[in-house]
Parts: sequence; structure tokens; C-alpha cells
Amino acid sequence: MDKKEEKQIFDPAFQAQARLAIMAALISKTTLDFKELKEITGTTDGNLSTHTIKLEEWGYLKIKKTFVGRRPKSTYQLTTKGKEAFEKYVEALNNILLES
Amino acid sequence: MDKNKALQDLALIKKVIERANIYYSKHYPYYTLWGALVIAATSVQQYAQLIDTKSYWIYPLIWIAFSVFGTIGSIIIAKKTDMGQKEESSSYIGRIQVLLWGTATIAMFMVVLLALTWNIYATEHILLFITIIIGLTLVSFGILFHKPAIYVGLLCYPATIVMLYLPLWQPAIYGLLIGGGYFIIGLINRAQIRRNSNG
Repeated sequence: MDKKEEKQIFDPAFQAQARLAIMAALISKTTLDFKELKEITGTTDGNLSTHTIKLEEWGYLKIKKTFVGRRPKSTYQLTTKGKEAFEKYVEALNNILLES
Repeated sequence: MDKNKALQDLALIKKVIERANIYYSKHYPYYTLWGALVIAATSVQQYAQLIDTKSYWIYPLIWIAFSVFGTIGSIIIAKKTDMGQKEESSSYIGRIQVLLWGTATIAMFMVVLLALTWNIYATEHILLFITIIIGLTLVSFGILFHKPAIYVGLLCYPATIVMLYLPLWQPAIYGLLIGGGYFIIGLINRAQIRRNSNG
């Protein structure tokens, strides 16, 4: 695998552990809100906000903002592009283990 | 990317997926069942204490019946729903859950056994010790898996103090706290699952 190919497979979106955890949490459940995502991934509020925004910019995540009474509520869901990218990444990881 | 990084990433993915599954696993049928049984058992015991029954054999009998019905009910629920979760019970998080509740059950059994050996018929100290054990288990369970359980667990400690000063009302306090607490935990769990499956 040359460097260019590796760069394509090893998506920079998944190079941060927090982003990988967010994607893993959302791949197994349809939607999660901020609190649930924070508890499942074990990240801090600030980290979670930063990384979810980055994933949204990459088009891997949809953030839906609503209000419950007067309180804002964010829910997160993977996009088809996000799901595909994540599955491709996991496949690439498995290939590395099989090759070695 | 080297093999170690790949292993590390895969381990993280596995851990998070397991955690998400546990977070939304169907605990509520068990909480509802055990909550109802606690309320039923403590109601009978409270009544027996209030009328000051001299038939002391009734106290161990209540809790034996409680354990038998609870075990049978849990087996039925596990078979029916099977939580569809063989994966969960084989995961390390699933094993911690089994270990946690298993330890609590053994501890409770030992307390009951000791109390019976000392000829104390379930009135003065058994419920007190069991509340402490249940409290500890619920707090650990809450920290690891299902947060609402922490609050019920923490409430067990002020409750033990109240129970110490109101021995006659121990069954009612225990029933309200543990039985009611289990119902609330179950309802929250059920609402979470419904919301998630609709999401």
C-alpha cells in the first residue's frame, strides 16, 4: 500500500480517538443526544462539541438542533457517507491485522 | 499505520459499541419484575410486623418465595426477550454485570443465612444490611452502565439511618425505596429504548 493509497483509506477524520469513539457509538445506534453521546464515548463537553462539528464539516454526521421546552437539544446521526467511510476504515484496520 | 495502532483502534471501536449496547439494553423487564416483588414482599412483611404476628416462620418464607418467584420470572424474561443479547453476556462488560449482581446476591444470601443462624427473624438487621449491599451494587451499576441507578443507590444510605431509628417501619421504607426505585429505573430505561428505536 503506497502513501497516497494509505492516506485515502486511513481517513484523517478517524485519526482522533474521540472522533473514532463518536462514530462507533453512532454506528451502533440510530440517533443519540449530546448527553448520551458524551456518556457512551467518555469525552468532555468541549471535546465532544469540537469533534462533532468537525465530523459534520466532513459530511459524516448530521446534527439536529431542537428545543425541549426552552432548552436546546442536539441529536446526532451518521450520514450515509459517514457510515460508508467508517465501514471502510474498519475494513482497512482488519486488513492490516490479516496482512501482518 | 502499524499493527498496534490498528489493534488499538479496533479495541476502542469494540468497547464503545459494547457500551452503547449496554446503555440501551433492555433492563426494564427485570427492574419491573424485581420492583414488583420487593413491594409485594415488603408489604406482607410490614403487615406481619404491624399485627405483631408470632408466626416467625413467615419472615424467611416471604423472602424464600421472593427469591423463587424472582428467579423463575427472570429466567422467563431472559428466554422470552433473550435480550437478543448473547453478544452482550459474552462481552467483558456483560461479565462485569453478571459478577456485580452475582456478588450482591451471594452477599444477601449470606446475610440472611447468618441472621437465621443467629435466630433473628428478618426484622431488625437483615433489611438494613441488604439495603447497604443493594446501595453499593446500584451505585457501581450506575457508574458503569445505567446512570439513574446511582441516585437510587445513594438514597439507600440515608434510608439505612432512618431504618435504624424506625425498626418497625423498615419493610415499608425498604419497599418504597428499592421497589419504587427499581420501577423508576425501569421506566427511564424503557423510555430511552423507545426514544432510540424511534429515532
